[in-house]
Amino acid sequence: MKEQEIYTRQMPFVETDEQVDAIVERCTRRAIAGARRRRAQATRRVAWVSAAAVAVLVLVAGIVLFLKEPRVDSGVDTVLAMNNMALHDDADNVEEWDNALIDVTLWDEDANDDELTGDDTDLGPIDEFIASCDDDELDSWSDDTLYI
Amino acid sequence: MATNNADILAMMREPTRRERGYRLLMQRYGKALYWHIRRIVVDHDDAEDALQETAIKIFDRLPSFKGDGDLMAWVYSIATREALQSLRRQTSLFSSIDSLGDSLAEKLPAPSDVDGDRASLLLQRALLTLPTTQRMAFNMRYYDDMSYEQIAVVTGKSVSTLKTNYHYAVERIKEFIASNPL
Repeated sequence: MKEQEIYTRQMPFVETDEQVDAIVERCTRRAIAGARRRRAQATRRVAWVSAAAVAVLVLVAGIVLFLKEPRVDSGVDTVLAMNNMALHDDADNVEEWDNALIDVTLWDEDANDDELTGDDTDLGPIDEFIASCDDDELDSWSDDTLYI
Repeated sequence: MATNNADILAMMREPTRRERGYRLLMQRYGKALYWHIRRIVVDHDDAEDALQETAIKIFDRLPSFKGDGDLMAWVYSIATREALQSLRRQTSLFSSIDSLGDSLAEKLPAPSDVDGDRASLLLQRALLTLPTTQRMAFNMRYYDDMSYEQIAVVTGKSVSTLKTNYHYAVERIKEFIASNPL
């Protein structure tokens, strides 16, 4: 290599090898720190998205359960009301009964009494049951004899 | 223990050894990358900023490096892009980075009384009269001893184009030095 080339291959800049080493080290550390920070941010983002997804799922499930809940005043009131309906032959679909056990599965508010009972001679099972009981017996009924 | 590029790449692909591999890579090429960038952007602060961006991109992209190419050329290509990006930021909307020669020459240090310094400074002034593509081809060939094939990977240009660029660069440098003696 000619002397002139040795001179020109040197850069005319003042930074020493040690200074450039320090610059490279600084850039290396910053790059690693930046990558760690981005990785931590990504992890946090995933955690937040997961938490948000779980919260949305819980909210949706709660809404669905709330909408599926039957609208009743209270359990006792409903049982008493249904007892009353059954005793007055207002139920339109009595599926089965066995002595004091009456299972009312459906109540149609729009059905009229005639459709439910037919003529006077065509007594339904509830009427027959009620007819077989005397007044004292009817009065002695307690709520727990009816399962609705 | 000597570590070759294949070892560095293998480390970089393992999450637990990634940072260690990256440090080895920067120890091997960091200083060369700084000077490569510095020769393009001239200003020290711009060079450090561009090196910082280069270091970040190397760390992020190295795990996806195919491994069948030249690692040195690959890191140089990232550094070159960042250096050119730094120059573009100094230009106005419709001007080319080739028009920055005079403003870059102003960032060169003042000439000293030492002949070697004056010679190297004169060469730098000559280089800054060249178009950027010729300047980069000359720099990588002259200062970094890179092959035309490696420079082709870095710049994305063909070997024959680079040989032409280098030839014209040398001719213009000779003309400049002849008309601006020490």
